[in-house]
Amino acid sequence: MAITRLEVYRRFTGPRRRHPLRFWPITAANVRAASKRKLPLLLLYAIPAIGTAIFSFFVYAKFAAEARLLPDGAGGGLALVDMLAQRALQRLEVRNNIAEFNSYSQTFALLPAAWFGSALFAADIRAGAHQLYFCRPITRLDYFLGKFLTAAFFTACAVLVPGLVICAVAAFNSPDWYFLLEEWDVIVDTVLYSLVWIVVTSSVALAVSSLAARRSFAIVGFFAVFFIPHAMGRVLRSLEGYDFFAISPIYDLRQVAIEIFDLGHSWPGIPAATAWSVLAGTVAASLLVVALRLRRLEAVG
Amino acid sequence: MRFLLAVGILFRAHLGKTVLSVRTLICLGLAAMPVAAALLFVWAWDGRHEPPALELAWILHVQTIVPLIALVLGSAAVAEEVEGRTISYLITRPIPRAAILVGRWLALVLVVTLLLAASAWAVFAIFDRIVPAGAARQPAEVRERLVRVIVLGGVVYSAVFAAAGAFLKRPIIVGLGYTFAVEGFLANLPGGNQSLTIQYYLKSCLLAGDPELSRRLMSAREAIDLVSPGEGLRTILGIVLAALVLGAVAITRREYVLPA
Amino acid sequence: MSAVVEAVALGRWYGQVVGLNELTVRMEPGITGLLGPNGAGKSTFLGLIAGELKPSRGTIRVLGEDPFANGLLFRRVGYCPQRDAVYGRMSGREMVRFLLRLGGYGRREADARARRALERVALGEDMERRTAGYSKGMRQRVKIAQAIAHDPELLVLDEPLGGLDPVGRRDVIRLLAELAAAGTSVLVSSHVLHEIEALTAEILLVHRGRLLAQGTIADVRELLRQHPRRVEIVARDARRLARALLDAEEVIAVRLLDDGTRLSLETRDVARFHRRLTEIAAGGGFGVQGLESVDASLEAVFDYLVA
Repeated sequence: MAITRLEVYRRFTGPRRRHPLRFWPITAANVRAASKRKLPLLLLYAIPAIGTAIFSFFVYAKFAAEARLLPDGAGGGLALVDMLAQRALQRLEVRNNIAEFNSYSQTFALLPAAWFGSALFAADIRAGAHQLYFCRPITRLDYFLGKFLTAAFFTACAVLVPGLVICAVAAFNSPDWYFLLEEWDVIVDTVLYSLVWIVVTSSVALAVSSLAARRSFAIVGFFAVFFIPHAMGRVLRSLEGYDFFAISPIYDLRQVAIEIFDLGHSWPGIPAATAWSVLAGTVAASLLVVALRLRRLEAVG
Repeated sequence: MRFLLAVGILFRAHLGKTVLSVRTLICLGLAAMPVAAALLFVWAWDGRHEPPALELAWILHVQTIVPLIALVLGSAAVAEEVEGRTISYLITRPIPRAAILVGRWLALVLVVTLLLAASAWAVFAIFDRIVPAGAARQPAEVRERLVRVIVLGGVVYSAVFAAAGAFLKRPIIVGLGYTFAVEGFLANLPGGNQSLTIQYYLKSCLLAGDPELSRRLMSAREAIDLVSPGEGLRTILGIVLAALVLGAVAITRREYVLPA
Repeated sequence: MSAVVEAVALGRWYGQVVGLNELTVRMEPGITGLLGPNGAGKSTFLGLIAGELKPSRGTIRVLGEDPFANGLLFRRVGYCPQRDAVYGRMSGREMVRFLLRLGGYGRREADARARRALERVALGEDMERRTAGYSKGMRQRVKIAQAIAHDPELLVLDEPLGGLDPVGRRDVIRLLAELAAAGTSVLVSSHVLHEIEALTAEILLVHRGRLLAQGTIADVRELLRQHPRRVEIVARDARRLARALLDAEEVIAVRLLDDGTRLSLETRDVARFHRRLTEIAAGGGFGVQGLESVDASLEAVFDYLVA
């Protein structure tokens, strides 16, 4: 008796066995696939790598110079106080410099987030490959986490890794491990600030990727989300009493850096609560867009 | 003659297609950003500050929106045919291949200029509602100059990106890199490096010979020697011509190996 | 008679991947079938003929001219690419008319030709619908229509039967036969071997970028002497017939099939074997009911050459 099968892919509806890391194969496969092409990796990570190398050397040089200033024996009175004050100032400078490096160089992290993140959903939608995922026993959350962690991985390589490398150089070169013992909060701040960057940029990248049919469009959308409010903020800042810088995620991230690293700058001068709120709103809006799009994509189409 | 006929046929065929495309919708959204910014200003305005119509036009339009819109639409001149895999039909017709680039670019540039001009005039119209006539309104001549520069920016950037589309597989990405990285980087270098950017000549068309406007729109750090508006315009038109010629050469010689 | 396509040591590669290598072929007017497995180089060869691609090495002449970016030649050649790509926002008629206008036809003539071409490919009723709403088979027909609309001298079709239902395939084969009868040379590639066989006896067989065979199916088969010809016989007393045939020196191997009423045997000389079989069968009362040469087909030739 002849039969026909008209459906090629059907959404998985059976019972799923519990598997906490079901998203992991998605992440691993996407990272492997994206890493195959070496030229984008080279172009996107060259500047963070060069910056990291230069800054690491700078930090090393600072501590090396400081080490030569150490007195042979105990000095007396004011000379010793002077020496300690000098050393304290030098250390503060290193700490501030690490914080400044983190806050400024991470602008370059936009590029890997845009390049790798924009393709994640857009490529699947274009090829119809999202149906291949949803006919497997994975949930929308697994699919999202798999993609999110992929974007986060590549962003972290440009954001978190350079910061931690410089902290490691500081830790190993600081006399008596003082950087690790006394300035360990810089390391925590570096991780925290990097996480903020990773979450914000990865969320936005996935949101535009889920809306775009092509990677190119997603990249344009990504830059539009960051740079158009940036320009608008610059134009509108003339209005007193309104912190229009806050509409720019880039300015908000800069303000968050000032708060986290306690840099004491007055510019851009956005209230911390406003900056955090705008960033949280951006992430929430991005995740909402992704959730709504994934709900539509899960249907067989 | 054959070239012009082919350009005309391609222009007419693709004008409607361009107006109804997803790219134009995206560009409409981009063009609406300055209008949204103007509305935001009007909503928050306390009556004390002069509306930043010129700053909006310069910073948001010329430096951000114009390159983005020109990139999204301009790069589609050839790239859209390649991505849609319909370029096979065109390159196997008895027409000069350059006509494909020129005809499609003309359709795109018409849409670009209309979008940008409408966006710019809408911003001025919104600010005019809160500023009484004769008060802090910009002179009509300045506005017209601004709109001309905005439209000129759309033309020159779209030509450059259309040529990039003929050469490159991913013109949007290269275009983004050029606009925000190369031009942004060169704009901050001292000396004559700025004359390597399109923004420099657009600045010249707008600001050269108008010190008051220059002071208003350029910070001390940005203040540079500009060329005369006439020279700026000639250079821009030269860039458009060079871009189209290079693009025409590229499309004539290039093979398009398309996936099955 | 001048060749429609002439290739000499033609080579084309894509980076490290060889598309075609040392292809030397001369195609005469008429219908020629281009065969080969996936990745053989068929589309590459057709792309070179159509002027889409440039050779990496060697030369190719189409109707006596170099085809790449040759505007004048494109008036005489019609090309239907394999790619499933159409102008989605245009209707079928608009798309064909647009391409005809680019071919130099005036508005009225382009419109008339477009309608005629679309009627010929059985899209007359749907020509005003947007191609974005077409089925795969309809998109295929539009592609064929744009290739034939300007009455080319040479028609180059890359997998034109793909996506068509059996009725559609029959119609297209009939159309191609009509065009060939009217003087158009046709070069068509396909995987559907029996339909190529129905269309033409002239084949070009490519595999891994090289030309494996050219000529009529029968001639090519004749050349494959290292493969003995297989013949199947249906007989009432097949077992006894098998014993008798084993004594014949023309027979290399004999196998009894299925229910014992069929024999499959191999021979190097079919003509002599047939004479021998007649002698044996006449005197033996074996009840021979049927005789079939199973590997004279294109499929068998294809398998022998490609496997």
